[in-house]
Amino acid sequence: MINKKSIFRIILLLVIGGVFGAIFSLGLLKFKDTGGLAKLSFIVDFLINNNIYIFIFLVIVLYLPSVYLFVKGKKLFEKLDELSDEEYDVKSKVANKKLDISLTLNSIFMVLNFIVFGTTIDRTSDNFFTVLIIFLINVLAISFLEIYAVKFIQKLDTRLKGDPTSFKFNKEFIDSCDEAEKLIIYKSGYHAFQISKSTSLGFIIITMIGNTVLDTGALPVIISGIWMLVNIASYGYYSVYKKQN
Amino acid sequence: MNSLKVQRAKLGINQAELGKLVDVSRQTISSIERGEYNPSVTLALKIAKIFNVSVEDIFIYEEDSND
Repeated sequence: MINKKSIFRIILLLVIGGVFGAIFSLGLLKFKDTGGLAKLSFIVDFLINNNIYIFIFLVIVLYLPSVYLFVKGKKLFEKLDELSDEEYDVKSKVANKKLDISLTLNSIFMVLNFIVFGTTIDRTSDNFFTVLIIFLINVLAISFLEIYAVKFIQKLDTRLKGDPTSFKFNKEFIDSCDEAEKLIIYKSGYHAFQISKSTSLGFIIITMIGNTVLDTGALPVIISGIWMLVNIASYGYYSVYKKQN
Repeated sequence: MNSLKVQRAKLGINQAELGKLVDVSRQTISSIERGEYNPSVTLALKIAKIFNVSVEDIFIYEEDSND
């Protein structure tokens, strides 16, 4: 039963959302009127002209620390077997943290690589093939680290199954995890879903306002909508599927 | 609260060996011992079987003060 307090809260949230939307729209209008778009295109031109340096910068601040942390974590993991249970408790947490941060940095590097490549690639540019090759090398390096990390973890713990290059990897890997590991994966997955749901809604609103005020087009709105739809539909499908089985 | 560490010491096996016996990671055994993870009934029964004791001999239910 929805009580008066809940209805009031929903209306209040809608009003607050509306106010923020109006402020954001007015801000964008002012930005457009004061020649902000010209400044923005200057920034975009700067990024396109310097995309090779941006790729190099990303390698230095993300990929190299990721490899460094992986090597550090790997060394710690290799020593864990020799440790007493008390020492293991402490060191295993440190080793896991290093590996987790390493793989997270690697994933961030992958996303930023795609963003930089997608937004700054210019077919007419002289350095088109150089940028393309750098991008492909980066993608290969990212995949290599990820596959190597999975194989390394599987070598340490032979219970863990699944070929990281196979499409069935996620299912096979999760199936081979124990109940505590599965719980962590499911909890993390649920948090990621919640964040993704809110973010996609935020993007729909931003792209909608962008389309209305700056004529950014319908495509960003459609893509944000599809992203949210896939999120919610896949969550709904798996919750129904799991309840039935 | 549990006496898994004590039971393990009695049997003379380490966390990794117990993990292999009940098909979980060493880290999971470590988390159970530290009270960070409460095992499922199946895992608790598996562990009790290894030590040849009842589940209650290892895992003690303590009512939370917030309950």
